[in-house]
Amino acid sequence: MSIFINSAAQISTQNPLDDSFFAHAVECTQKYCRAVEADYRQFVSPGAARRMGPLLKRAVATTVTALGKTGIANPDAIICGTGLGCIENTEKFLTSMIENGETCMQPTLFINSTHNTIASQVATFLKCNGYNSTFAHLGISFESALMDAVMMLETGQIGNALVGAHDEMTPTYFKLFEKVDYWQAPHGECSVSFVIGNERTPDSLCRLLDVDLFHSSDIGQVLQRALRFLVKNGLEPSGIGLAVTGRNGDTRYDGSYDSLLAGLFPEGVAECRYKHVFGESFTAPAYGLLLGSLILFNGTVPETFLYGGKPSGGCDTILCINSFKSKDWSFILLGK
Amino acid sequence: MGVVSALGNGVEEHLRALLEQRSGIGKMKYLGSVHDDLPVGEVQMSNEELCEAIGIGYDERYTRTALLGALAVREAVREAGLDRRHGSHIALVSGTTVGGMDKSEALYEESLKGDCDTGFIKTQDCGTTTEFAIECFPLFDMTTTISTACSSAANAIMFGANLIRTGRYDAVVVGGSECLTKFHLNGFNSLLILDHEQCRPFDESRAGLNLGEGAGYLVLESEDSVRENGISPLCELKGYGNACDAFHQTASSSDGQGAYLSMCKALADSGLAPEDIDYVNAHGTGTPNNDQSEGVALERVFGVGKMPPVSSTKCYTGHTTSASGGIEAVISILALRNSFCPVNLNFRKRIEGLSFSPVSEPCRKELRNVLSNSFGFGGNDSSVIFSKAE
Repeated sequence: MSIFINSAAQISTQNPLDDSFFAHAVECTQKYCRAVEADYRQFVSPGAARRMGPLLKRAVATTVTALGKTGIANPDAIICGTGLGCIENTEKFLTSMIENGETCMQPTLFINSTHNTIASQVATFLKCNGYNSTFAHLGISFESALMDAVMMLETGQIGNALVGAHDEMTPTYFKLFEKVDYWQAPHGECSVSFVIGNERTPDSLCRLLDVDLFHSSDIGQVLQRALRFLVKNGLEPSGIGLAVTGRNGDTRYDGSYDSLLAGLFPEGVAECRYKHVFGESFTAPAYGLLLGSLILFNGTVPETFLYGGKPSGGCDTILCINSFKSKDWSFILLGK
Repeated sequence: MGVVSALGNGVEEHLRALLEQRSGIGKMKYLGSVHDDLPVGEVQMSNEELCEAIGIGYDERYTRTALLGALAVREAVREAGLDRRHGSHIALVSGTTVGGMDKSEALYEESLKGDCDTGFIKTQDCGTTTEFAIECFPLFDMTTTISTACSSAANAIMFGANLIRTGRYDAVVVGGSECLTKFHLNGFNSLLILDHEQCRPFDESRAGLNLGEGAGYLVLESEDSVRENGISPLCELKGYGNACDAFHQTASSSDGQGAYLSMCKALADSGLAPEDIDYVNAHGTGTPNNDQSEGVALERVFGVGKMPPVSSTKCYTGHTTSASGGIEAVISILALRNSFCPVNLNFRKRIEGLSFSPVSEPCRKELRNVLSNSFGFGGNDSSVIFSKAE
């Protein structure tokens, strides 16, 4: 059985809800880059919008846009990855609890603070009774959600899925992250929705061959795992035309990409990166998948994203690699 | 399997409390909330004592969800003998929602003002809580965390089972962990769904839930792995289903559509008919809304007059939120293996409009298939079926 990425939509540092970043990407020049908001009036009524935080509005807008491209009104599954959930509401509830000594608490803030608020409110918005889940595990939150969808497609439990990646970065959280030197990279936000399924459509972006997750800070073990992953999918490293990595400029961790790529591709491999454009966030690897899908769909590799030389040959198979602090690894294999 | 809750530390203490019909819900001792008149199901161990039980040195930065999780994971991997196997290729899939909120709520205010330690921000998220168990027991080469509020652990069981079904893993540890925090106690309190008395699931007079804390994990293994390692399994994970109520962020639909669908999916997945189910461990929180909605869903699945024994065990442990699907999986398996249906405590009068009452007298009977429900905010409904191993 084959799995296809049938559509995608993003709200990020780039022009919202289109793929114009592919040709005209704007790099993050600040340490803190918030998302460019879309016009939400076409997606939710003003009344409903007032009850939604910014992250939820982004999720609804990317969901509706991605589903709209496929003609699917009601997906078999809605699965989201989010590192922190609706952290703005969490902060407000926490602050109010501390300031008011656990009195006069507003239920709405609490209701909208849980991580699963996004996937479940999207389901309520679409009136979708299908499978619904949320993954919240640091830098592999999105890939976990993707893996969940892939496994259910492989076993025939579903035929299609909406898979989302959603994280916001509030000024308070940015300040706290800065204090502990969490990421030496631009802090971004993320809202990307993909529709994947077991049927090819005229607009399918690419094939989603497989996903793997690995927990280890031993680069030798990571290399073995990556090789095993390729072999499982009938591939050798030489069959990979391009690596899309989560390299973010953080000198503490970027070296692990160098070591892994050197071990995996002794002859070298063309590499793309994307976090200098979209910023780092727990679910940023979704942008890697988006970029890889568009490269396969368009058949070109934009200069802005290249790290080093262009691919020497054709680029039919892409390996997306992300490492969260060199210990939580994800591999996504894409084919034309 | 491994478990810790207000009923005690370990599987044996849970079995004894259930058979003796002894609730662990009582007066607040550790949480330190101003709402200390609310009964809670606290684990009767301090964080220092939890560290000692895990076998690690105490550090005040450790979050309680992480400690509870590590303690239950420890029991599960030891009982299954995973810690004695070489070349481990094992995944840990855990559910939590509060994560490290216990430390954050204690330090957040100060941290925004000045230069005090803001290290808590590194452990506030859910994933770090799960990774704590991996650091304690270096057996795992993959991990992830599911956060679907009160059905998190049930969904972790399903994801882990899919890792085995698709051939990615032969052994996985699955479940969930959650400690009490002022954050979610105040959240539930603001929704007016906490009972100031002991909770009374499926009783006409029910007035809300009591929060609890704890952790519960199962070791799932493929048939091949069971055979190769000469293991006699505790039971078979026969089927599972997940559906979304898609109705309201905190309320369940009056016809229990999400719950109905998740139970139907689990039955279809297991290949069993409704009449094959011998006991239902209900979600049964004790809120007016949940028990009515779940009751209607149960009637739709099993049929009026054909209800198998149903009980909620949240009157023993409190509602342990993200951990409940793990703790209640352990309880369901204990029921299956020890041939009893746990008594639903504090029941007096059947809910008006429902055709059935929960198990209210000691009930010893042979069980072949047990269904466990876990429903979360947002209508994240999941059902899991455990069966006698053949």
